[in-house]
Amino acid sequence: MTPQPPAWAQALVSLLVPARDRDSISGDLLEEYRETVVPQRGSRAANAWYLRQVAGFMWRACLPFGVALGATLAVREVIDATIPTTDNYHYRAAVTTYLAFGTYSLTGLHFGWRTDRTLSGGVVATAVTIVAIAMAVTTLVATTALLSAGVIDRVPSYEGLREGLDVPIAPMLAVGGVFGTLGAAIGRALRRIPRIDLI
Amino acid sequence: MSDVLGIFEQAVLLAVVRLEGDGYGRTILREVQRRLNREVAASAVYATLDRLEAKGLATSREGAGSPVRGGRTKRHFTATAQGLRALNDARIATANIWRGFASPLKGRS
Repeated sequence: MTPQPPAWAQALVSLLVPARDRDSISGDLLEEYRETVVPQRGSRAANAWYLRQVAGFMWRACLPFGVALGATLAVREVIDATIPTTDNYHYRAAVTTYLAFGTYSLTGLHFGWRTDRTLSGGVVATAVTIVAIAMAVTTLVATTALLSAGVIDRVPSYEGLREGLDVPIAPMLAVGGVFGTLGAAIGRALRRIPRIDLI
Repeated sequence: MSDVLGIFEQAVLLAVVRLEGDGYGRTILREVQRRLNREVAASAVYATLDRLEAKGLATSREGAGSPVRGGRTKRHFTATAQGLRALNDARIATANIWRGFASPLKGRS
């Protein structure tokens, strides 16, 4: 029987690579898997190798947008922890929310255009959320440590720290998936508009 | 002055040159790993090939598939004249940087 990497991992690769290179990249990975990795390391280790390659594609895909969203959340964490609010965080929450919507939509638009797959936007937006939340939590922990140690010359706003800890992970994953997919649908549709040479 | 190539870009473009137009993703990945003597993520090589092509330092053409690839096509890469110039410039720049130093460097650790 011909060895096969996990079907879901192959499907994930096809969602992450440019439409033009989809066949060649997935073919290269399959060829290396079957001809080199399985004979040398066995099926289980070969599957782990294949998953590492998929993780590499996912990491490259989500990093720029993940860092952008993570920076937005991180700045918000620092502001909440150090500058008191006068409107119970409403204005800050609105700005953060709209920036997140924008980032998710741009992620989707970019990947829909690049991969010609609508689902790619939702998948990458989900990974973007995970990267961003990891950045935000790291920032919150660092800010708390710096405030406690007196390195940041501010009276710690414990209410702000609590607000920072209250990252709505599940809604962000859901909203990211929806906005990413919608953005990807638009990006994909834009690929079909014929180019008009004006000059 | 042509494009300034990083070490990884040099390794990928040299692999393309070494494979003389027959190189495709898998063989380029293996050649890069052999030259750098470490495991390299396939995604890093494809991203670099993409960048080299966008800069006009390499071109690609579609090739036939094979049963082991599930019939999927290959993309063969070739270095352009501009790519070869960039590699030559990178080599000269490295030689200039090292001029006057003994190899290996010795000193207090």
